[in-house]
Amino acid sequence: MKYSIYDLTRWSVLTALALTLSVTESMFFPSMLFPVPGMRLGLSNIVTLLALYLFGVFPTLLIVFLRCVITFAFGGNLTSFLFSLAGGLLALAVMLIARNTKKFSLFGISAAGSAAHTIGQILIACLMTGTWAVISYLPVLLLVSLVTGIVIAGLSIPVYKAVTAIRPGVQP
Amino acid sequence: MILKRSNRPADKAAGPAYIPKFRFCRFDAAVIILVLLVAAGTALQLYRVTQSSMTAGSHQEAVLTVSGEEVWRVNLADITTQETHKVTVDAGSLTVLAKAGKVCISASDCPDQICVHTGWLTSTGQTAVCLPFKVVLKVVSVDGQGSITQDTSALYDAISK
Repeated sequence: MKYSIYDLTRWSVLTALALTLSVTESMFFPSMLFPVPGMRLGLSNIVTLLALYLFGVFPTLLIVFLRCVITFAFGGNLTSFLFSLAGGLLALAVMLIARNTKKFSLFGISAAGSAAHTIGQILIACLMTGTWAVISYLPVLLLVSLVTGIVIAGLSIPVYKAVTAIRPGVQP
Repeated sequence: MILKRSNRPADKAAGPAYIPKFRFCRFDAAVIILVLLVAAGTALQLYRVTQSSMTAGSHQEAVLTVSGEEVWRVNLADITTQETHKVTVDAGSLTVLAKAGKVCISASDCPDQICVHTGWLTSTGQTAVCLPFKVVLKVVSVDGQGSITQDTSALYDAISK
């Protein structure tokens, strides 16, 4: 399929939004604030969630991948890169399946994606440390991911409305 | 210049294939209950594994692993004052401090400092993880013969059965 400049621009704008949210979050809520590692709000998941509806699978995959790579390039470490990539891809896969059933609202899809993100991170942590001891963080992180998932869904509704309000040929 | 709507072939279709729903529905509740069940199940299994390790005559040991290989071990019941151990990996070094009945990662060169913020580990099954250095410090129960009775790796066996 051929993509127009309009499509590319929209993807780029959402990629920029994802990066902005990710940077903002790390400034206001540094990971040291939380007692359990891996706990975070995941504001950039707003973009993943919306892109899945607005653009489809391939562009969303591109946005998730670019966000991880660019965050890594500008002062991230390899650990957090692997974490966000594994979590992001697993979350994307789960949200894709949930979207295709057409049964769930944004809240359910976001919560499922958030939980999948956590599980992906724990799996990578298990692989990296070579022990299963990291699983002991799973219950707490899953509970937190439910809350953040629902918050993210709530936040993404106004963003979706704002993004879909902009139409080509119509000046806002 | 403003792009004309007709320039986009995708727009000629009837509309987007998937339209998000904004209202919370019962399927969403099912997702939440499912995740809660998984969390509760894991927590329960962890609790049972930890409890079953508290047998008579056992004591606690702190085990330090780097990339899954054990590099240091100390009996937490034997320590009189305190004991420190320094490990150096490619990326930097990390110091473990053990006192009677408790152990922690007291200093680390890693960027996120999560392992240091974890604080003291006192009970069996507790872990402090330093992902940048691939270091895991955990507390295990050991019986009189010196073999590990239980630790969290038993959880994996429980899940895989």
